Amino acid sequence: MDSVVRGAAIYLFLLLVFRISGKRTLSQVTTFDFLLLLIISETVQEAMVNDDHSLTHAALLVITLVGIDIGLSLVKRYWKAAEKVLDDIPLVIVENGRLLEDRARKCRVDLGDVLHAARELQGLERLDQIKFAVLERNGGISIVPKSESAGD
Amino acid sequence: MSRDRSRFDDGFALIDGSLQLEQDLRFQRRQWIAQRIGWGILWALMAAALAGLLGRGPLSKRTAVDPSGTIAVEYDRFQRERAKSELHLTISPAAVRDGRVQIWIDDAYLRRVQIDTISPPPVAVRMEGTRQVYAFAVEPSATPVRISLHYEHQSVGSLDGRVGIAGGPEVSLSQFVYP
Repeated sequence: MDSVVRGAAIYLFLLLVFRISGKRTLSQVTTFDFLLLLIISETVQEAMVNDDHSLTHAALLVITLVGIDIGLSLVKRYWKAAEKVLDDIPLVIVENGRLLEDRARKCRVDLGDVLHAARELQGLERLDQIKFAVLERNGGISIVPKSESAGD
Repeated sequence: MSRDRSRFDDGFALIDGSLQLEQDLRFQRRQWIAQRIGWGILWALMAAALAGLLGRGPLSKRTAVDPSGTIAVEYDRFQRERAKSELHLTISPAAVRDGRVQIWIDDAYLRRVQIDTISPPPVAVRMEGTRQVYAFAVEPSATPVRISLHYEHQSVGSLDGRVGIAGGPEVSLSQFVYP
């Protein structure tokens, strides 16, 4: 019984904590972000396994995690509001070469992050070359460059 | 500040007339508020844990002493399952009889914990009704006898226990064990 309870508790707890912490936490921008994720995974593993190294316990944990995941994806399909609550939504943070500072601040994203994404994804040099920058649900930033032919 | 110029039925807005995106500023604002509340709760939990309310800390330390001062037990009011815990007993030298001091712990408590070591080790252990009695060899002297039990809780929830001197005063412990 406790295999399912532990698996479910950890899944829901992690979902809650990562939704509370915001988009950027999951994005692994710096090496430390990546390390943090590794450490979290190690910590959680200990509590889930709880000294029970049987095949059955391991299988039940996996089944529970996957089962809840599938269940939630069905909930998301039939109830649109649930999708926003569980998965988050994207947000425009640069519009027509202008950084929307209020939104960026609230999302804890700065101009440096946007320019980094612009260089990496589109080879752009400056903010005014960006038509849209969108902070995606997974914490990454996607860039839509200004098309040169349009002349804006 | 940009505005969604039009909204399609499937929840995708058209930003600035060209970018099709499932942005929802109203939901976003409410989410920011919820997140900040969540951060407050996170930090409050950290503070509570540092203080000991979630196991092992200054606010968690208790000492149970009997009115005559013969036996005192230092323990943690809040503990966690399968975490290393300790009980420290201080017995007054008056309780030493024939080079021995005998401590009992009630069985109901012992069944919900797993004792790792007792320091110093007892010279004898026996069952007496609903209690387990531990006998320790003690040189007669004026210093109080100090005994430490290192153990782990095996179950979750409220736990009351009684510890006493065989044929003498007793104290009760009240603990709460987090999963």
